[in-house]
Amino acid sequence: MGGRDVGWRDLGQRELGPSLMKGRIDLYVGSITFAGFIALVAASSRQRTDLLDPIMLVVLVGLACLAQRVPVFLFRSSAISVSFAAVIAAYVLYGTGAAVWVRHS
Amino acid sequence: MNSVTPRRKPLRKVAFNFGSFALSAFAAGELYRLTGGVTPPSAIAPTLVSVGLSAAAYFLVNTSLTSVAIAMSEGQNVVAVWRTNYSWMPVNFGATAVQGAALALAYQALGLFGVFVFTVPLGVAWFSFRLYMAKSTEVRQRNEELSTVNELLRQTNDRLEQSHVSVIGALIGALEAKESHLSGHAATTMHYSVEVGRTLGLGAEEIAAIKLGALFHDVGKIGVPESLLSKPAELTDEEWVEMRAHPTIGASLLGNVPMLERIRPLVLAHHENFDGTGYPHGLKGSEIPLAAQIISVADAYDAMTSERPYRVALRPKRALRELRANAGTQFNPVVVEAFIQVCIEERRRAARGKTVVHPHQHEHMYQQALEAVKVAS
Repeated sequence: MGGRDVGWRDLGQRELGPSLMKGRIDLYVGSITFAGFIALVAASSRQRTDLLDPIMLVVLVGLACLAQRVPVFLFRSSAISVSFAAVIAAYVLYGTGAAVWVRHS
Repeated sequence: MNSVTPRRKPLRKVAFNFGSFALSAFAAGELYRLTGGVTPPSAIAPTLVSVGLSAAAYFLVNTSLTSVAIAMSEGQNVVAVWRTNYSWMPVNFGATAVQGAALALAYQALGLFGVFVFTVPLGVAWFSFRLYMAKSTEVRQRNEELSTVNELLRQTNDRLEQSHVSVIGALIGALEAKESHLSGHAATTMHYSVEVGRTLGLGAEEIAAIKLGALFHDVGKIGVPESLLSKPAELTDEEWVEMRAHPTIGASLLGNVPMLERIRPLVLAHHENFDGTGYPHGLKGSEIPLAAQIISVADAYDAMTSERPYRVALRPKRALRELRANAGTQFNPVVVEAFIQVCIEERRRAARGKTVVHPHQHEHMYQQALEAVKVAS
């Protein structure tokens, strides 16, 4: 889950208003982005590539993209995608690094 | 994928999503490892336990980070934002987590074939659900259209009711004009009829019908020549034939007003006698609607206690004696007793100095009719 996983209340699907552009919110977004980048680097550096099955990784990325792109819309003006399932499968099979990569697909 | 489709998102949103997704996936992956999750997976049970914990971590990190952003941008409480937007999601999220673990285990056991076998049924289920949701949306849209049509119908019905009420007003006006020498007879009859109805324990709808029936019981006199109504002497046999036609005339007049259709039998039967000697159909006993029997007693009492061109008014006590004397023949004895009880009660209240609304002071018949129509309909 992510993106549309959190329904329309996700940052990727809604306008946060002009205040997002300044001050504390900018700082918050910057901090999250930086921390995320650190997490990506840390997870990737520890990822064992010998465990990876490239075809399965592509399948997981494909599933994540597909699920993200075609969410199921619910009655409450929300949407759910099952792309999170691909993320779970990725870290269960290959570890955190693969999960972060799939998540960013 | 979500950053560029279906349209390109602003850079800050993309950056935030990048960070929150990375942190969520990182937290989940690390927690899976720390709680004993094996990569690649081995036994099913420990894998599912670790997946459950890590999935919860993913959900909390992802939704918390987004809730903070929303709360900051909208100046709301973080917890309130989370509750509003995400508190309903854990079950769906948990189910998705189990699917993810099962997908990994299927791959572990059967390779890509396992992924295919696992994914295809899910895809079919997803497609079916999507069709179902599309259909449901269509049904909801139809329901909304139906609601709109219903609202229009309700408004039309209201207008129709207003129109009927106007007809009622016109009928009452015509009746009052016609019976100017009997001023207040309909109102007085209505007053006593309603009180008797209440004494007999009738319900609101029956009382409303009695109210309307009493107001309109003599509406048929519109079709009786003025010379007969104001004749200062006893009527001849031929004239009585004409006079006795008024219940039938009244009933057919009301038959043209759908909203008053239900009081038609009352108007038609208000001159029927309990022993079957009345008119127009010679009904007897329970064949006569109770409301008509009540109206009949009230009508007779007011007629006896009112001045007529051809006789003087009787005193109330004398009129009550007359009613009692005719109980069981002209009138229903139970109704007569209830009527006498009403009169006694009114006299007591008057003696105690409590305000008794004199029947002849009922100048608001139109309003009474409106209320009765609303209840009766």
